Amino acid sequence: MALNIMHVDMDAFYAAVEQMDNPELKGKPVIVGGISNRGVVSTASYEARKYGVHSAMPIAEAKRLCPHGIFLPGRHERYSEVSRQIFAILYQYTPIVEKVSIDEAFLDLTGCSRLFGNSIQIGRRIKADIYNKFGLTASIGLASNKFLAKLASDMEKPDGFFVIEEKDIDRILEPLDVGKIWGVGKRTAEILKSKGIDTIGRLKTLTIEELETLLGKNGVRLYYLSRGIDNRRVEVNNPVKSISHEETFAEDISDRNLILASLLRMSIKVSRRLRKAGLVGNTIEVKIRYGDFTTYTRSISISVGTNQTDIIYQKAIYLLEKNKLLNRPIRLLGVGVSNLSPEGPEQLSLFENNLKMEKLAKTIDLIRDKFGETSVIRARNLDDFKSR
Amino acid sequence: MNLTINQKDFYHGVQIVQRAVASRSTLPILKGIYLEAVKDKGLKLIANNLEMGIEYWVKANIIEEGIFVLPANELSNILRELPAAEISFQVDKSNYQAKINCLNSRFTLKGYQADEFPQLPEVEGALSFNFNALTFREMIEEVKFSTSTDQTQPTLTGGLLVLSPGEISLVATNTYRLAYSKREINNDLDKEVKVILPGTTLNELNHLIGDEEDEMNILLNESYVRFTFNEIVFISRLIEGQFPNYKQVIPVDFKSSVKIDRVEFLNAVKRVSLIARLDSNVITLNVNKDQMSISSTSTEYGDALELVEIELEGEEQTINIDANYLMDVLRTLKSELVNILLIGPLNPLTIRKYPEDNYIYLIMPVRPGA
Repeated sequence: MALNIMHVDMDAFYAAVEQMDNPELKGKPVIVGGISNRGVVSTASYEARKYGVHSAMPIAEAKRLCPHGIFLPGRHERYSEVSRQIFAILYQYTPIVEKVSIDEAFLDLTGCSRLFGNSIQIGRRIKADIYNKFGLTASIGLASNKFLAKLASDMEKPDGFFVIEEKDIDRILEPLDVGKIWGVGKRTAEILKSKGIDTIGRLKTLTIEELETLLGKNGVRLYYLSRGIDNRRVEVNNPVKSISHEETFAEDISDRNLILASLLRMSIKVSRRLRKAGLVGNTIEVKIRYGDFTTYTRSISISVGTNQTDIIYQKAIYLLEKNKLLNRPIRLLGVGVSNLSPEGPEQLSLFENNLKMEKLAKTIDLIRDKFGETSVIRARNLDDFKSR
Repeated sequence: MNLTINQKDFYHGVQIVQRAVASRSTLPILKGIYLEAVKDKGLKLIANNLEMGIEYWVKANIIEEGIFVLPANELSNILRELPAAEISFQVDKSNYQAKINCLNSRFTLKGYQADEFPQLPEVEGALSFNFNALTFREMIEEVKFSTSTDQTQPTLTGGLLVLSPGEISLVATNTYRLAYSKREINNDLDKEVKVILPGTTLNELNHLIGDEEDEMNILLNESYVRFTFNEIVFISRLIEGQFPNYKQVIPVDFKSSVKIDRVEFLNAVKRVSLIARLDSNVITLNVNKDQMSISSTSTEYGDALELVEIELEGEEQTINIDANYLMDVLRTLKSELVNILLIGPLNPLTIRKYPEDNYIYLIMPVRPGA
């Protein structure tokens, strides 16, 4: 089997960009994810990881583990800008690029060898291109499918380059923890470990039927993945699945007016992004996190897709109230719209003048495009605006 | 409690009240049926899920009076399977068990203490009037499909009952379409009374009103409505809140009026919807001279076109609407002809029965994508 699938994963991307832009930070523990104690770590540089800091860890804990760390709030626009340039490099080799996230992609190199040499040569060149242009390191994995390629990129991180060849699959996979398999989360791992199955090698002793009984459909998938079989294709079109915003508050809040102001602010952002992308969504979701980090998400489907601020805002309020999510102080609030489709024919309403509402929304969008996001604001957000 | 009762009668009664039994409830007793044996009257059955309740009397030979509550599902399952013969029914209060014996079958079923069962609320300070039950069912059928399923707007999930001098009407809308059914009624009202009946109540009434009913009594106050018909007492909570101003959106002036055969129209729309549903379910109606064209185009799959003969008065018109909204009403109405009234491509399309004048159905059009 050809080694045509490549996984490119930038090393500690946000932290590395910060170190690139500010050379004084090089070699120091840089932690991106907010300067207050409230947020979570989005990326820690490898220097910081030595202290046990990792992503998704509360900032407060990271500060405890690495008190001399350099904590930065994060500059997402800058990261997106660098990301776009890195993807531009990837596209020089193949159009079949699946963007997994801002700093991670799969490439299908089938048919590229005549142009650029074999996939190992292409991998070396991509690594070199990224390093020469930005001084950033990427870890690259090469294999015959996505699952193995992703495993490979993780094998020698950071600055790794690892190839899993057909003949080595069993030798490499078998000693690995079952948690390394794509799609095996905490719960599945627990189920497997409770049966004494801790490695992929052990997993392979189970028959397909046994796995199906234990884990259902997912079990069947694991049967194949544990043997290095994965038929997923590199998907070029990775359309947006949802648009959402969330805010972590400076302190846990229970003031209804503050919560609603924040909700409205985010509903405006979400609806604006939907309109910019020419999309409507049929599912509206809210997310709440309390002081103890318990997190709830609740969603509702609507029959006619929307990208209107007020509909998103009203449904979000309904979700918060119906599920009694506001009965204790909250740490984080989020609102999102999913189940997206392109703006199509529009069902008009008997009681609301949607034509007028839509015109209003578009006009406000235009004003904000021209004069900035705070040029037109809702009365509910006035206080919030003044205090900034 | 000790009585004998016919299996068929008992099962029939349980089936009627069972519709108001709570399916999920934090109060287990609400999953039960309240039984009350009264000498010379028979056995009273009550179910009450706190949103609605049903009371029904079954004839029975009462040997000893008493009250008890049995789990509805289990009781109903047992009664269904028992032979069509006389049942001996006894309650042993000391251990909360009912003995149900019938021919060679012996069941004991554990129950609940009956005094904890919530009785049906009194409908006090109520407005009372009588109306033909079958006509009411017809009105329910004509509007209930237009209710909304959007739980974020509770008032739209129900039907608005409007009583005004000499008139009764029922309205339902999901804001994209609206159904309005109106009948004459003898009442001595001097003002308008409006309440919102829950969608489930409309469905259950529609189901419970049989074909042979004549008169129904309706009692109304701000919180509850009570229907009494054919020995069934049906009580429902009302939905609180503001129903949209339906009168304001019913058009009075039209540019075009079309008469069309209902079944022919329905069949044509059904066929076109085979293509429409592959995409956004939108069909285009065009009326011109003596013909209506119904069409739909899906860029991915293909297109469909149907032609139906019409009688047109007024201008040529073209309008895009959701096929389901149209099929719903054409399936429900029974008149041979319907009257379609149009104003323009962005105004509501109105459908009426022809020649009767007791029904209005509005569909808001779809504006083609930008």
